[in-house]
Amino acid sequence: MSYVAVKGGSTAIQAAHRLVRKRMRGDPDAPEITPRQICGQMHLGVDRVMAEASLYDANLAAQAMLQAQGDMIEAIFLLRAYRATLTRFLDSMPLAMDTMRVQRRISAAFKDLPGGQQLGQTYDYSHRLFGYFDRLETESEIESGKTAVPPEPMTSVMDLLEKEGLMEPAAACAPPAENTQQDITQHPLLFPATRAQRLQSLARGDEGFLLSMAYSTQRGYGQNHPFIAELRMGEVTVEITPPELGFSIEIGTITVTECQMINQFQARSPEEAAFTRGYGLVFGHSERKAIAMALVDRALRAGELGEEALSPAQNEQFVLSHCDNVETTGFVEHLKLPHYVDFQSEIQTLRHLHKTATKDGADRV
Amino acid sequence: MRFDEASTNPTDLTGMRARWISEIAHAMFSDLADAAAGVECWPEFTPIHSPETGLIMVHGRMGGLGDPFPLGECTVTRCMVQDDQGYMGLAYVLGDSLAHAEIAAKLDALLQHPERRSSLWDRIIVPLMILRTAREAQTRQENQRSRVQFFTMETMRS
Repeated sequence: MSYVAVKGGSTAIQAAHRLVRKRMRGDPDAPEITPRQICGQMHLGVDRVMAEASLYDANLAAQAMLQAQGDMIEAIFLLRAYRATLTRFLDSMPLAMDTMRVQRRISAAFKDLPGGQQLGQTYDYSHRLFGYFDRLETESEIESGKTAVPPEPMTSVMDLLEKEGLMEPAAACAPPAENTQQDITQHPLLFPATRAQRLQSLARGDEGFLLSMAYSTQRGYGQNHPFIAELRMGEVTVEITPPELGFSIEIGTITVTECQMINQFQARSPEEAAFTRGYGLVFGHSERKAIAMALVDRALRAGELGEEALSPAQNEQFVLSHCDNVETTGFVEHLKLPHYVDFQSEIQTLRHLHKTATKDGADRV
Repeated sequence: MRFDEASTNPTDLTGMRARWISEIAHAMFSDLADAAAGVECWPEFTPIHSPETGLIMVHGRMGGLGDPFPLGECTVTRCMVQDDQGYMGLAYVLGDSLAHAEIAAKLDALLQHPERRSSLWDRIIVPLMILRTAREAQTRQENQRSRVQFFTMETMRS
């Protein structure tokens, strides 16, 4: 199945694109929205575009959202396409997650944990009522009472569990693989994939798709039995070691959301019984995606953990081949393009079939 | 590095250069431009690499502490200049601000001049550090107001 090149139509195409330009601008009497406003007031949308385009640049993501008239997948497509025009300079050092400047940190497994819980900005515990937030005073209006909180370090819950022997060691969760070409943007994804490749695919995967996959594990299509050990959102510093310098430097900060999931325990013997891990890490503030990613990561570890992979969320070829919305939309939406020659061949076959059938029928009488 | 440590003027040149490059990269562009505008006697610069925007692949770690995996890319702008005394200035700055990278590379070259380092450190780097730590402290304090202590009912499970 493929489409063929067609000629002509350029005037109509141009007119169609002018219609987009006109519709994009909306009411000419209303002020035009700027990328800066999008970054400021629709930052969660910007974060989603950055995460799924797999390119962290808020200003570009906001421009993409405006050009796409709010169509998130189109915006993601634009940003992903732009990414392909840029040179890759370097790889960063792995993010030091323990140095995150945490804005939000919660645990659904422990109510008292070292460093405490901090809700940060959240819709959790709010009524979904229009105008509810408009009636609240903002931070600047609140008297800046210096809440002297002792800077107790937010020790990782997973580390504490691991030290107690109740959590599988982090290092054990990535069995050595033959396939060492980790970066799926540089080398095509082959199956079986490594956990690094799975996590990279999931980090850029479509939020809706991952959400449904994650939900399916909770409804019984998988064996996660999850608890959120920790959900964190905050800023981390990006470090690189440029070859020109030979030492590492910081080049800025990015906001990320991280989810550490405690899952069903496993063991060959009672002494070795330990909870299993699922991990989610996403650009920007995106808790739904981070949680979904951690659930799907855990489900995809089925084979490695000796579970029978019976459900879609446990099937890495199914999940990884269908989670990228740029690929997905490309193939689904290409059906709109001319398939005239293809279809002519099909219709001819069918007409021929009918004709022969009628003739055969007539012969039989 | 805290600001009080920074103001003691570290003597280790590599450590100090890493710190000033980092601080210049972290700066808000408007703060950096203001700081640079106050610098007198700029040398002549020859561009080695004009400011150019590209990508870095950011890596995370599986489970936070395990093996690395590629998380996604970030735009980054780099620039390299040489001044008339032969000092090479280098900049890598997250985002796509050509102007930020250019000022950063020039300041990096200038800060390598031994006779100017100390005063530039005090006049540019330390103030940028103060601004950054203040920004971070404000975010921290705002969010700390939402610290929570949950209680569970003893009878909940009975």
